[in-house]
This record gives sequence, structure tokens and C-alpha cells, in this order.
Amino acid sequence: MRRQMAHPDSDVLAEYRAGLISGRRGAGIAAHLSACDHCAAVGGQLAEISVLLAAAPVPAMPDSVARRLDTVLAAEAAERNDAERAGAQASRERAAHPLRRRPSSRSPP
Amino acid sequence: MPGGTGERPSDAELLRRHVAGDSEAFGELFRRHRDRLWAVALRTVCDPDEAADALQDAMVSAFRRAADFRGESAVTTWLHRIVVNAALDRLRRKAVRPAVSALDEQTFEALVAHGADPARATDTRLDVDAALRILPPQQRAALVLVDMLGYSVNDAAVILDTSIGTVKSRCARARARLLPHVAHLRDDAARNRSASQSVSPAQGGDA
Repeated sequence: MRRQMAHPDSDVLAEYRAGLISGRRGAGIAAHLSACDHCAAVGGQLAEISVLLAAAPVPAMPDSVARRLDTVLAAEAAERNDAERAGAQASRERAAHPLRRRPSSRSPP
Repeated sequence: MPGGTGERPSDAELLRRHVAGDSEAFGELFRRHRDRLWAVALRTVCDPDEAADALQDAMVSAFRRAADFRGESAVTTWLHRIVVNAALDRLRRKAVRPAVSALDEQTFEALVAHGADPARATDTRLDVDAALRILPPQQRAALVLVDMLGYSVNDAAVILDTSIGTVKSRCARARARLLPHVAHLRDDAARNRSASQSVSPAQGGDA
């Protein structure tokens, strides 16, 4: 006759519930759970924790943070536009005057 | 203002437009998901100021690195990944100072016993927030994504850049760690329920 398994730690029960313990060890825990009201209750509480966390309301972003982020992103966009405009200007000049060479800036290294 | 213009562009389309030079697209993408991104940042770092800084770091980084997005995951997964990384980075940098995760069970009990800071007495989320502070950052990040925000273990593994088994194990250990506080969490949830049922426009309430 097999010895009655000692109560598994709550860590072990949580890992078992998450599907991380299988094989003989998993079977042992399953057998223990079906015979032990205490551990079955712990298992129920572990499940309840997930349910309670899921029910917690998602906090909305405060207006001050939303405004700050909008400002930061608008500044990023403006900076990028400026950089692109400068680049486009340079390539327009090259396209409009393909033969014109800037004497000094194009000098070979 | 979002007008009634039928179809709205997908996240991936907004990101494409952003990369192509549209200066409004990224802002629109951010506004679309900002509450969830905020929730991830806030619950991972457990401090509103740190969360705002982490989110700002993350969004500037996403704005600049958008061309690197290869479409292997959803745009939201990619955004969450950048936010979680920025949040965990902040916690790591803070670790030399008295860390958030050093808030131990004793402190938690003290918080609960005092019935919360009077300034935040109306904050019914205190118990959940306080409970999350007990957890080590990596466990907390996994639990926030999976249990609180409803991400699949698969998606959470992509966001956290780790294996599915690691996500499961972090969540399991986090739940076990919260076990002694299940009663507080239960009370907190009941308060939230009754608060949302009795919401009335007049703040004075009915007597």
C-alpha cells in the first residue's frame, strides 16, 4: 500500500494547475487532490485569484499623461518632417540641376 | 475627431503609413491602444510617474523603430513588448534604490490594516495594486499580461521574449505567492462591483 502523499506546496499546486507537472508526479498530485479537501480548496483559491485579477478594472490613462504623450509624439513627427523636408529639398535640387556640381562639397575624399 | 467614415485603417496599415511618412498615423495608433498600454506599464512598475516615463520611452522608441516591425506578430503585441521592456528596464535601474519589489508582505499587511492612504481612499484598486507589489517584477509582468489583461500564454511569451513554459511557471509562482491575500482580493472585487452598481451622476448620493 502506498504512503499518503504529504500536502504539496502551494507553488507545486499552482504549477500543476498550469500544466507544468505531468507523468508520475502529476498523477500523484491528481490522486492527492481528489482525496484531500484542504489541497482541493487551495486549488480552488488559485483559480479564484486569476478570476479576481481578471475582474479588476483596467485603469484609464490619466489626461495629463495622454496630453504629455501626444505632445511628445507630435514633436517626434515634426522633427522627422523637418529632416525629410531637408532631404527632399536636397534631392529636388539635384534633380532640377543634374549637371550642376557643387564644386567644393563634391570633391572626392 | 474620428468621423463616421466607414472602415478604419488596421493597426498594420497605420504603421505602414507612419513608416511612409504620414505624420498623424503613429499618434492615431497610440491613441487607439493607449489605455491597455498604460495598464501594462502602470501594473508592471506599480507607480504612475514611473509608468508615464516608461511609456514615453517606449513610444518614442516604437516611433523611431517602426520600420523594423516585420509583421511576425500583431502590432499590439509588438507595442506591448516595447512597453514591457521599457517598464522592466526602469525597475532594473531602480533596483539600486529601495526597489518596488522590496515592498514585502509585512508592508502589504500594514497597508491593508491602515485601510489605505486617506488621499487615495476612493481608489478601490488599492488592494490589487498593493498585492501586485509583493511580486518580483518578472512574475508580475507575466501575471499582469495573462491574468489581468487576458493575453494568451503564447502572446505573453512573445511579449516577454521568453518561452511558454517560463510564462506558465512565472504565473504559477505569482498566484501561489498571492494565495495568502486571496481574501483581500475578494473583498476588493466585491467593493468594485458594488461601486460600479451604485454609480450615480450626483456625487452627494441619495440619503
